Amino acid sequence: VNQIPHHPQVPISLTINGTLHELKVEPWVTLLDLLRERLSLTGTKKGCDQGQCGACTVLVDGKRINSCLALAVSRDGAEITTIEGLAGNGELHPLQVAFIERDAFQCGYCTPGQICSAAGLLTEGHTHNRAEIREHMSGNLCRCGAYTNIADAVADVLMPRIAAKEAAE
Amino acid sequence: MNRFEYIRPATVADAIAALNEPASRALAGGTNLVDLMKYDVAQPPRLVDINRLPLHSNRSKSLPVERCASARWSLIAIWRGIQTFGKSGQCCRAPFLPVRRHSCGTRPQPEEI
Repeated sequence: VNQIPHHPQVPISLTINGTLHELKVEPWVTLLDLLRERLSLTGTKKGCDQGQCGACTVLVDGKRINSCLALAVSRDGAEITTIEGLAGNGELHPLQVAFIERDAFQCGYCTPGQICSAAGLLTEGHTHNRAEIREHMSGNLCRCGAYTNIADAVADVLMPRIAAKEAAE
Repeated sequence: MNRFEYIRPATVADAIAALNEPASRALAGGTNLVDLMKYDVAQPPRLVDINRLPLHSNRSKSLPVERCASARWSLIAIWRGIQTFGKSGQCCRAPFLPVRRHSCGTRPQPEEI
């Protein structure tokens, strides 16, 4: 299996939640494993580890991706936001507040991915109605089945913002 | 996942040269390749990262690569798309670009939405 007996580690730099990290990683290390195992940022969850469940969703340059399928080396120079980086100045992100208010979880394992995904969705603008939110959050599975409240929480935050943004345009 | 060599060519010509090696597979978003590698369904000895190639359109600098999957012909399709782009002034939203979306039976993923 190991056809390349020795491969040098690749130097990369990542800005994670506002902090610059200079790292050396093997090419086969995923962004998810780098975050969790090397940087102890365990808020990002490993669910299926094959891009099906969305628990590992993070924002890379503002765009939501599955970190389990992203090789860390290919994201060299990127700006990454994880669930740990959404809150600022001692205040929760509005999506985090909405998830608490709407009780939008049961076990909570998918929640970091759900919230990061919703944060990414905000910039995409596909939140005009509930069906649209459900469709564009469909990459994030919740095995507890808390979708009703998850959609409510996302709608609470995103629909007014999108409406205001489009009214301004 | 198998061990592999990772290269990130800076130019389209270098990328095509690297991809002409039989051992090479192109790496774009990874959602149609890395999942297969995790189960050793795909075991490419070399990955050619095409994410940084200067394939910018005026509408979305990342659209052509992100919409493309991890296959050699896809990159060539992109390259042809850029030629089209240069001539017509249109975006590279050519019909041959997104054809491998969901080709592995996966759900719509964040990168593909």
